[in-house]
Amino acid sequence: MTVSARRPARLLPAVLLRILPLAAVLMLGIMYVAHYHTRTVVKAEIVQKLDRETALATQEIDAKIDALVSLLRTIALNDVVINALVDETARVQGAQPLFHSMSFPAIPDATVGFLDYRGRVIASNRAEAAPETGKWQEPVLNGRTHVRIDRHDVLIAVPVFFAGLPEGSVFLRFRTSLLSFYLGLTHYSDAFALMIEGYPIRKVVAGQDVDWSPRQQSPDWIKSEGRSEKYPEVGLVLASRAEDLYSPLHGLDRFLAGIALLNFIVLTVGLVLTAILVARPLTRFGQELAGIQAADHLRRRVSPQGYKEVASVAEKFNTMLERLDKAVVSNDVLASENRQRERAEQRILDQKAEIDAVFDTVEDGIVTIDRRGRIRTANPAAFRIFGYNPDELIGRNVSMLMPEPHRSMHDLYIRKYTETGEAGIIGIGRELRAVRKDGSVFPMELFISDMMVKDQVCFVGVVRDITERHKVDQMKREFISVVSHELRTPLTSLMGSLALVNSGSFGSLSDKASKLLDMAQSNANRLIALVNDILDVEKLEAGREELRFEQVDLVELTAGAVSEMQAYGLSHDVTFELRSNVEKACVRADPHRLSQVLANLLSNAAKFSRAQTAVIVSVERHGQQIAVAVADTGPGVPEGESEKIFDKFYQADSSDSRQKQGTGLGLPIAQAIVAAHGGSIRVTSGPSGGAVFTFELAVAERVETSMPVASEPKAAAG
Amino acid sequence: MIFRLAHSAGDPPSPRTAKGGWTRCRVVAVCALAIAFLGTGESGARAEERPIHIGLDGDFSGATPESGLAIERGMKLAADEVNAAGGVLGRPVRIVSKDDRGVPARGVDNLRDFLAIEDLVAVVGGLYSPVVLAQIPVAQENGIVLISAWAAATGITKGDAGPGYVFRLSVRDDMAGEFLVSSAKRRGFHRLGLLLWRSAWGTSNEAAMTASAKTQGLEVAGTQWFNVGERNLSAQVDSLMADGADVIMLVAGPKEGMSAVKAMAQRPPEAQLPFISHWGITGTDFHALGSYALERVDLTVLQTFSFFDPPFPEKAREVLAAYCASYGACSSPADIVSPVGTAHGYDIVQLVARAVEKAGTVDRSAVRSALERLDRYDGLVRVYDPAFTPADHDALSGDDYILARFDAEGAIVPAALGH
Repeated sequence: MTVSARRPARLLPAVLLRILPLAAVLMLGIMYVAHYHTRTVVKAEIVQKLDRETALATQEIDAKIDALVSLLRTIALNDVVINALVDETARVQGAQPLFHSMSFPAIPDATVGFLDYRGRVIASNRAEAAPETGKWQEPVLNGRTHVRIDRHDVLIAVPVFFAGLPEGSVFLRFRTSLLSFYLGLTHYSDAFALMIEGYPIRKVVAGQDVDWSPRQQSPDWIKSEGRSEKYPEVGLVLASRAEDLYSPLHGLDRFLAGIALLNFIVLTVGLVLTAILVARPLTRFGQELAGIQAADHLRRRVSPQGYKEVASVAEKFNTMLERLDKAVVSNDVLASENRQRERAEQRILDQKAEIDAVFDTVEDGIVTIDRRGRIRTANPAAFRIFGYNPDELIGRNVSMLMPEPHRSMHDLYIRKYTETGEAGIIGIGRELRAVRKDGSVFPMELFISDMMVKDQVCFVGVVRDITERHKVDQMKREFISVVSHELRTPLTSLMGSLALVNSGSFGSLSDKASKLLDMAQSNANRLIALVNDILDVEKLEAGREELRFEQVDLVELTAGAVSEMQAYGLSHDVTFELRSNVEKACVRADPHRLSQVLANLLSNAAKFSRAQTAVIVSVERHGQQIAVAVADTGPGVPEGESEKIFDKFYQADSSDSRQKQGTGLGLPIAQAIVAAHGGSIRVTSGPSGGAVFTFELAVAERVETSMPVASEPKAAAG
Repeated sequence: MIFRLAHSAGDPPSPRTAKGGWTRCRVVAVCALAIAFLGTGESGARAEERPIHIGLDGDFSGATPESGLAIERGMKLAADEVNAAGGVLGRPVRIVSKDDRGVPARGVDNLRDFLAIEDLVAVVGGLYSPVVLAQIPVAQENGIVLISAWAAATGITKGDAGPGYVFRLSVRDDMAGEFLVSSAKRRGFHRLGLLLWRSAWGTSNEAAMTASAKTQGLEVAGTQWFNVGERNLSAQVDSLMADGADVIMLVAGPKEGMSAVKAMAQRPPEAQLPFISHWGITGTDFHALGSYALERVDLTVLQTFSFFDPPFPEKAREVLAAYCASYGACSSPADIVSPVGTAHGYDIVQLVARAVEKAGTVDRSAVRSALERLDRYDGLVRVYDPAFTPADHDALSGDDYILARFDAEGAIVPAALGH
């Protein structure tokens, strides 16, 4: 926002243009309301006053007519008058002079008379007054006062009582036009009209008789009509000229107009002053802001001076400047961080592209599944192995890739893992069977690992189709089986022939011939042993060897083996020494097969130990495991070959194998047997050189009957 | 109707005189019709004969209603008597009454109405002199006998035009004045205070009493007037006492008379003056208007007749018996409220009947002449021998006058008997 010095010049007209017309309209409105209201009030007042006057006037009319009635009654009660009823002398001497003398200054023309019971004149103030014969006499002679007021004349008559009964009447008659003079009501208002039977008898305006129409409705006149209660023929109209009534209000109107004008002027001046007063600090404020703008940095501050409101704005503005300043600094930091992050992101993208390339090009199938077993991703190799298109696989349950019963059990495996953390095959590579899209089952090698993606457990399965490898292995096993079988039969006959020849059954043999025969017989035996071992291994690996489990004391078994092998040891100038930290170590095992393992290990130890040394055989319990260790004093196992030595036909030094007289199948057989017992075998280096072969078996707490154990691992996963 | 303009039927509507048709009347209109025909039905055998009428114009509803009634009763008793004796000229006599309420205008109108009645031979005037005086010109002009039964103004029979058709069987003021003044003189009073109704009657008495006082050597100490209806005459009484009067000569109607009596009765006995009153006050039951005041003042009143001391007791007894028989239970003369009216009415009808008989016609002029030529008649009030002469139409004279008092029961008794 920029505020220039010329700003007040624009603020002022804006304020004036917005407020002054409104104020003018408001004042005109107030004036109009005041004008209208005062007239309404005044009119109501006038109407009320007129009504009051009308009420008073009708009361006065009543009172004045009553006064006439009362006067006549007084006359009628006068005994001079009554006497004239009953005596001629009294009439001539009393009543007639009395009536002759009667005159009413207010009613110059009035006739007053005294009538007998038939309306004949007894006395009157006018000689020419005719006798009355009107119907009015009947009620009067029945004792009632009669008042008749019509457009022409007014007649008032009262009865004259004699001896308790009406015996005549006194009447007063005058022209109706005189009634208003008698009533004298002109002082009531501007205009006055006496109405008799609805006709105006006298019309007076401001004291002057005029031609005025009291019955006509006119806005110029405010009227009030009244009617006498006692003498309903008599009505009156009082009126005031509206203009006369409102004329005092003109002064009030002018006064109001003056006030309004003054207000307007004061308002204008006030607005101008206010605008100037407001504009000045704003101008200074604007100038300071301009200075800040020109400085091109945010260290300067506005001085919070002047009015409270402006100062408050300045303070808030300063606070804003401070925040803005800080914001600018942190913005630089942020930009640098952004650049770093962009670089990191680019690196991540590169890495991802790399990983994606590996993922896409690797020969093994890689499948990720979520915790509920749904396939999240799969690489091209996986689609190829299983024969599915991506859209047929992604999002589907991985169990579709498994044959029964694993397909049905798969969900249980996953739930068991997620609930207990107990893994079946996670982290361990396994061979198992899988199903392709076309339904064909094939062997595969599976490696499963778990990982967290967005706080969710996922599993990654690396699949390798090992159909081909299995075929090769099968072919190899069949080859060996066939070869062994085919070898053993001729060897057996060969052995028999050699034994027969060497026994001399067919003539004595020269020493040299005997010596050759012995050599042939020995090699034949070796060949048979080799063939037997190969068959043994083949059987174990093919799962065709059935173990007979029973409760076996491993200490006893080991002691027996050691005892049996002492002679063999002596042949190599080696002794066996048995050590055990337990008296008894029961395991479930096939004692015959386990003895074969021990014999194998002990024979190897005797063969490889140095002469005149002792092979240490120990049986130890570690928790729920019984470990049997055979430590020799030989050259030991070369580093890196501790796994290889369990391969078939392995010899540490192949050139030396003949010397040591082994088939190279002893350790693979031992390993196969231990594995068939659910145990494990390994080789380590001893503390003083030499090798230590150790196999471990689980402690058997209970005696159970023997049962067949599948050579295949129990589970593929979980 | 507030007031009765006239009794159109000759007899009062009394069940005693009504015949069978009367009792069967169910509605007023039928009653009126029946009453109109009673005249013919009543006389039985003489039904075909038209009655001879005698009119009565009296006050039946004004200040002195008993005066009219008293005259009417006397007249009817006489008519009954005449009719019982065969009537007049063989025709029954019927009394026709009209009410003037004491108002001259009504009296004049009534008289004109009487003129229109066939075979009406005379009209009897009532208590008020102004009424009779107003009627005189009409009577003279139309030629009908007008006999005053109570009005006393001297001018009635002593007018400038002569008596003509006007007769009187009543007190005459000039003689009454002389009688009353002499009564005062006899009782030892010297200074008369005149208290007079401002009327023709009052004027008449003023003249009479002033003249009598002069001739008898008494002084009129003062004269006071009052108008009809005045209720308080204390001022006039005070004025007369201030003038030094020792007796008050009262010429008044009953109401104004009682006002004077009451004004006097308020004074202590020693400061009171006695009243010697003309007979106007007896036009109604004066005693009933103010018995308490009346018993406390000394008041003697002019009378012409009393059933207590009648001049002809035998005659009076007969009339009294007939009166009591006709007008309800009465055993004593005291029950007759205005005895002079009854007595005068009775004698007038007897005289008129004789005059008609003598005239032999109902011609009004002939009857008038016959009245002046009557034979002796032994009446109730006096012996008329004759009653009237062409020069003197007054049947009574000062000799017939008596003074009377009201006894405790209100009966008017002769003063001689009362003292």
